[in-house]
Amino acid sequence: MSSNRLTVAAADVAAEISVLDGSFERVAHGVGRLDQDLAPGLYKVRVRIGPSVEEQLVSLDQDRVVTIDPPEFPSPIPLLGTSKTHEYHIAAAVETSSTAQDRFGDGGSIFVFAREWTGRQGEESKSGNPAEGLSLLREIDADVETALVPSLAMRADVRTDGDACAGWRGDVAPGPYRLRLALTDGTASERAIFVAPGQQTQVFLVRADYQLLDGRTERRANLSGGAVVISLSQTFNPDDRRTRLAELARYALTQSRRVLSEVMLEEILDEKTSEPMLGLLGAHLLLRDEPDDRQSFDRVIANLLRLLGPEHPDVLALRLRSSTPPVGDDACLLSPPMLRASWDIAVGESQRSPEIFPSEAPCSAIATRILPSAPWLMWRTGSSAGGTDDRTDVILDIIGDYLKARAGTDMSLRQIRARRSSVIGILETLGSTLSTAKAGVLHGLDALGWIKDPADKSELSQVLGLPAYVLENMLKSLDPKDKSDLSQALGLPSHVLENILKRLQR
Amino acid sequence: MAFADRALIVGIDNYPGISTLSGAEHDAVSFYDWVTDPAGGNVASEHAVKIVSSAYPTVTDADNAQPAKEKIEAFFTDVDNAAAANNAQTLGFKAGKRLWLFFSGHGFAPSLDHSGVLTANATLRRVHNIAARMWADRLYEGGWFDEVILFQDACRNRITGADLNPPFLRAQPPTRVRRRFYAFAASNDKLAKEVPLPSGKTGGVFTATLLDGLRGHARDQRSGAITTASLKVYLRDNMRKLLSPTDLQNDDVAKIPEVFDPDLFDIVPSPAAVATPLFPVRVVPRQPGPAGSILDGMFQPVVSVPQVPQVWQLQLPRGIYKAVVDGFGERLFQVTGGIEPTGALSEVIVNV
Repeated sequence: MSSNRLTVAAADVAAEISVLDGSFERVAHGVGRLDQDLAPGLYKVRVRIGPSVEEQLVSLDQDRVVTIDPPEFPSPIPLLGTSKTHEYHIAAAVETSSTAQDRFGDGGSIFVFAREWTGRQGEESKSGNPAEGLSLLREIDADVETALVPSLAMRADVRTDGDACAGWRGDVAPGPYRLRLALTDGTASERAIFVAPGQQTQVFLVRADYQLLDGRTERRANLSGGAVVISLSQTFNPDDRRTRLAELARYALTQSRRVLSEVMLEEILDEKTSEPMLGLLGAHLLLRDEPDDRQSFDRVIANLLRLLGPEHPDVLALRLRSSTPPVGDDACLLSPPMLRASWDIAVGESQRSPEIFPSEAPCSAIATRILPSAPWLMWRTGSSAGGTDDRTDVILDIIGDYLKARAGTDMSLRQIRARRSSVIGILETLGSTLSTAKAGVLHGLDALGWIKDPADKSELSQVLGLPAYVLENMLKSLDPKDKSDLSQALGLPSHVLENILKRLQR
Repeated sequence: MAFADRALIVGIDNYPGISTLSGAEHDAVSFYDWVTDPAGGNVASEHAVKIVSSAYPTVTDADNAQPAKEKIEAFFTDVDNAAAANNAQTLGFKAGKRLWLFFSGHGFAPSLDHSGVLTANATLRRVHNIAARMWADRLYEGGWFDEVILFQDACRNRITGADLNPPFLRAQPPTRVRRRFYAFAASNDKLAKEVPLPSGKTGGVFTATLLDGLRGHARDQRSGAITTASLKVYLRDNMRKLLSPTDLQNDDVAKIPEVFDPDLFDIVPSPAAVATPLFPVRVVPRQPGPAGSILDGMFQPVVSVPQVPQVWQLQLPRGIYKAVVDGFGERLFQVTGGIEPTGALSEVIVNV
């Protein structure tokens, strides 16, 4: 049968290309570029860039070359060629990234750019300073944070023509910082910002509606939905091709898209890369999509070590999966990484090497407050500097429910439970007199004797994002009175109960 | 039956601690009706569990609101018990051939891996939820079923601050080939819209499009089956047709679903007698009179007329076509199917 060559050239190396035949069956797929011999006929070429899609119908009655302009995609970064961008936002970002409003040290800088977006149709602009509620903190040690800039809204260069924007640059010493968003209902969340020597870490945020605890809605910068650029020039470049690629890599990481074409891989591996964020995101994509390509992964790690240094927490976490992982003190994660995927690596490795999370390090202080965000690591915190929002009780509750539900699936246990239904009732009554968290664990202890597999703890640790030693400590939180009550209710000698607890704590 | 198909359908409108929805229960009921229909999902009603708000008393105290997590997790316990019972009879550790999971309500999905659907007792301080994707993955990985299909029509408000509850069933080493298909109304902070439906009820645009496809409009042209590939294309082409112009302009509103389809298989087999769904097409030539024809995807004529009328009305199956009007040129067009907010079949207008 004769065939014709269909060539699809998409301007983005991360563009996902699909070709569907006249019955909408996919007959070809590629990333960045596609060359395919197909039977003569009608086809639909579909190009996806992040969440945006462009389609074109093609009559393949001869060889055809289809060039599809990359569709604009939404990004918190005011990049050229993205859909949520005003020219005045681009200009403001370029200008404010270049001039420090504050100076706290030398060697690096932080740039935060928050903006409103009401659409290109000129919907009535929403009032308010886009940086409202944002503060920048320096990470001194666990539990104690110094508010470097208690109110970025007060310090930023705010421009209110059209959709408002607020840009703030501060020169700082390299190291770990935190960006916090506080809402007026007293809740707050944070994410990590790490400044590598000689570089500017840029955070771009777009405002969104938050639902407050009291039912009101508040419009603030979307901290979890922001984007990060690491700039070697310490200014913002709206036309940086690799920044655009990094944005697409960020989307691919969170939405399970596969964009690692050969060309994309070359970009990630390029030793001359000027966008370390592309390297960090690319490394995670490699781990997820090409786990057997150790050589490429190690090359990216080598690049990142050179660009960002071994102290960068994301680099440290990634190195744990490299062919030459750090050991001893070099493997200790002191500060939270910026990416959730980096945190997940460290949590997974902590099953074998608990010392990855030193108990007094800032990382461990946030361990019980992690939110299920992506791709950035986010955690709850108090709304003022030094405030915390420890949620150990909630996590114990979750663990208790988990253990109790697991116990319900054990056939032999159900037979025993039928004989012990009165004991369960006693247990639940006991539980109601204690704190919610401990009650949850007590309920779960009913099943302890039947849970033998350390993999359970490993899985709990991984899903909850808890370092292994934190999980252990929570399970040890029962006091002697709790144990005594439980022992009597179940008819277990105390030494038997202690042995069961020790088995779970092993 | 040892290996019966099973279905869990959850639709929650009443959230005393957050905000009340209008269409989640309707979506769940509609899906339940289809999945238990012998001409649809063909799940026996005794193996289909429907959990909806109206089955429980309305309360104002969120802590007492139902359905809570335990009601939903009881289904998974029953699944595991069924597999264990089969295993005890040396039939193998397997609960059934196919599992259908449908969830509608408030939800969150910062990423597809970390997504969940809120239970009725959720508040913004304690965001109780079911990690639907994690459950689907666990039941797929452990071989409780040969096929796991998940539909999630959630994220109707932006929810943050949730703790994921991990699946409590222990992972089993896989022993045979399994397949899965997941489709989500929204992810990555986008919102899944509820709209007034032609029936007069309110429902999610994702579920309305999904059911339209499952009821036959998403059939694969060649096999007549509704396959994972054909349903994916149908959802992606048509979900946006139920959105208002304002929603189409809003970047925060999900216009295409997120679909995870690593395996190709038939979701609904081809019926004995396949009635290919047809959709209206209106070809408008610049000038009527010359001969014209419609070519299909293989350049074969499907319709030819000696004189093209001023408005040429056609009924065509889904696919890609070329309209040719002698002396005036040709135009490629596609018939993707779908329904309009009025309930009418979506019409394609082709100007040549």
